[in-house]
Amino acid sequence: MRRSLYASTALHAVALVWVAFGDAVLRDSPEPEFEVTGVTLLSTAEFEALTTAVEPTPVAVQTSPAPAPRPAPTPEPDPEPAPPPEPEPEPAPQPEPMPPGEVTDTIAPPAPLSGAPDLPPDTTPTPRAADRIAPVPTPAPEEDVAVAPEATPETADPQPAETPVEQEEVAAPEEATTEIVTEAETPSGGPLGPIASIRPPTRPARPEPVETAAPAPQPDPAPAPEPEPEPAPEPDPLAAAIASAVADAVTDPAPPAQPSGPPLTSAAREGFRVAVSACWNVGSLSNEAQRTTVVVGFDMSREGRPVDGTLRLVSYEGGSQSAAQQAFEAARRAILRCGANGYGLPAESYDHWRQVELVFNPEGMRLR
Amino acid sequence: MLTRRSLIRSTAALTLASSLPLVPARAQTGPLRLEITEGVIEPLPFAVPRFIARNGGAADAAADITRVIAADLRGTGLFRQIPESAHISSVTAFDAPVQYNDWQAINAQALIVGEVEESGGRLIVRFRLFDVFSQQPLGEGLQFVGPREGWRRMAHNVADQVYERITGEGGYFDTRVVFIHEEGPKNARLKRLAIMDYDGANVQFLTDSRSLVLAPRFSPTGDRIIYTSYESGQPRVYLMDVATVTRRPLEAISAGDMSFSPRFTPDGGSVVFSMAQGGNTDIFRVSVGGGARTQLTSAPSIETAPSFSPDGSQMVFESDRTGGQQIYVMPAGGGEPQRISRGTGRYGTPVWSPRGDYIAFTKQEAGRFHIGVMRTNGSEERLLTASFLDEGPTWAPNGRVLMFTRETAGADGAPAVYSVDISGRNLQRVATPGMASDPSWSPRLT
Repeated sequence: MRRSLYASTALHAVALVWVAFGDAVLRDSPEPEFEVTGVTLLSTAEFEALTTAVEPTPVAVQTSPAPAPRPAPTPEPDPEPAPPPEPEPEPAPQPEPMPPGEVTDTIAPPAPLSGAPDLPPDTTPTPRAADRIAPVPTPAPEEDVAVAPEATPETADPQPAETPVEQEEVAAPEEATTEIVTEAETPSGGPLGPIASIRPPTRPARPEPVETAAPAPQPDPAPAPEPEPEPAPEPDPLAAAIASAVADAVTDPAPPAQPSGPPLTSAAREGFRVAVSACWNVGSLSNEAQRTTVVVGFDMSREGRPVDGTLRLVSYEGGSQSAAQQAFEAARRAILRCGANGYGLPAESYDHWRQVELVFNPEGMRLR
Repeated sequence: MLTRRSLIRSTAALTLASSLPLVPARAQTGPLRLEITEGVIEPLPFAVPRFIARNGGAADAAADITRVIAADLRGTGLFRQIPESAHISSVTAFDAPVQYNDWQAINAQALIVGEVEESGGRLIVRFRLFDVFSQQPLGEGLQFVGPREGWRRMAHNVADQVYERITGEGGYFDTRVVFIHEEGPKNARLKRLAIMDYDGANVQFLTDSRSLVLAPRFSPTGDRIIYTSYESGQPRVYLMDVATVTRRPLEAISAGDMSFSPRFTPDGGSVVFSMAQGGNTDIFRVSVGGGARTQLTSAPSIETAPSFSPDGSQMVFESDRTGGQQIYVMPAGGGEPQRISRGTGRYGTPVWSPRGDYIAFTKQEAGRFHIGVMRTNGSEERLLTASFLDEGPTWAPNGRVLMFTRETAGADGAPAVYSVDISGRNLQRVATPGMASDPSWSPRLT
């Protein structure tokens, strides 16, 4: 009994020692070290973007490069001695003004955002349609397929016909190529995408006033059977007058440009006027522009917003054309800035404010 | 019967016309037309992201130029800069499309985008100005080329362009101011002729402090200065070439005579000035190249401070011929002066606006001094300032801003140069290295 206890204890001790130190002592080779490499997680969209061809972005569109600077003929500046700090008498330094910078050239405006009207012609070369290359070699076809520009479907299960039909060979367009031809080596084909955004359709012209068609002559009713002759009643003058007036009113054609819906109330007009006034800043205008009254016309959307591109200088008075232009720009800023969220005009009266002309008269604002 | 019937018919028609909803109102047939007569006067918000440096050598210049442009525009009081920390968009390329919505969101109404490039020791500055809410550029993009040390002037030129395109008036940033630099206690002042950029930068001294100097004035071309100096022991008018800092007396005067208060004629070929002879002071004119002087006024009173209208046809000056100091206008070649100042108090130092529409003046009334403007016929007098001592206005080349001297009261009172818009707004002190007085604004340098 005791012997087995000793044997068990010894075996356990040996096992423990083996577990603790056996791996270190008996290992014949160190474990290979891991190499840590950073990876980047890509979303599906990013992966697709990486695997698709790079397309030119509208931002890269440049109408024309800025002109290269040309050497300016400005004379070199004279040295400017430092001014003496002491008030003691001393020779005056050279007061040569700093050499002026000269205006050399104008710079073409930047390309507008995609979708804006009046995009300049796209000068970006259009990528050539790339040939597709199969990722793995295509297994050899079972039979030779003739290369033809147009695919010819294989005839289905040719049945013996009464008249023998000449069997057409199966053909398909070339799917793969054996080499990559860069766009620099081949003339570019057509553009992959639109060169410029499609200009939005112009505002539909107002419908021409439609002449109210004269009421079609009513066909004469079938002759009724002759009534029994009886004394004709005396026509009621009031009824006749009403009938005549109704007929006149109904047959009176509506004026061509007659707006529909209720007219704007005085409160709505005043609210509109005050809203524009709140954004009309004349503080930065020249004195002449502050003496110039401009009339600005524009169209309004149904949401009560000024329609871009419709603002125009209708007329002006009191100043030069240059001053009128400055005054117009200030008025345009006011209309657009305060109308960005709509002027809150009643929709049912849209026909009354579909077109607007605002008279900006700064008479009372001058040098206030 | 017919009469009764027609009466009934008319009555019925009128009743129907007023009651039938079938007939729409005909009150408005054209566009809705409203008149806006009330607006606001506030600085126009603008954004000027830091100009892009095209290369490493232009980084500092790009930052400095952006800063000066913004300071120029802010200083007018007509513009308010939206700080860069509020910008949503960042401009990363000069030719990049403008994200108008981002700039509208921060209420920037004007956007200035630019870049700076250094090439062969020269700077190329390009800029564009955009009307944010109209989503279109204001004018064409421009580029300026100049030596690196001229970066401030290029910045001023950009600011001038922006100012001109928005306000419709010429800018005044690329200008200089000649003034009297003063040092020392009030009872022993040393005065020197000095010149600086309009914003107080690049101060340079033209004379030493051995002689008292007064009232410098720029020539219409900005290359010469005329001033009064006690260099010879008596007040005498001197002419100085700005480029070479060489000076000479305008003309020989007799011992005991005094010449002072000079000013160039609009063509720059002649100078008008006051001369005190035998206890009487009158206005004379002499060619810059020499020759006999022409006496323009002849009165037993003191006539001084002449200034010509821009077209050279008229001259305004001050005179005490009626007892008090008043402002008169007369034909440039001589003639009967017409008094145009009609208010109470004393009027002096009249200066005709470069635009010809106003005359600026100093007014003293009830123990206070004012700088004011009036129409050339004396109407629409408007006082712009009021202080212990304001005097000596000078016009910015665009005729919209005035500089003048303001001196504080007391034994420690000191003069300084201030500017104010002719609307009376934006009164501010001009940065000078010390005490300064008698400013004279140059024309635009470019």
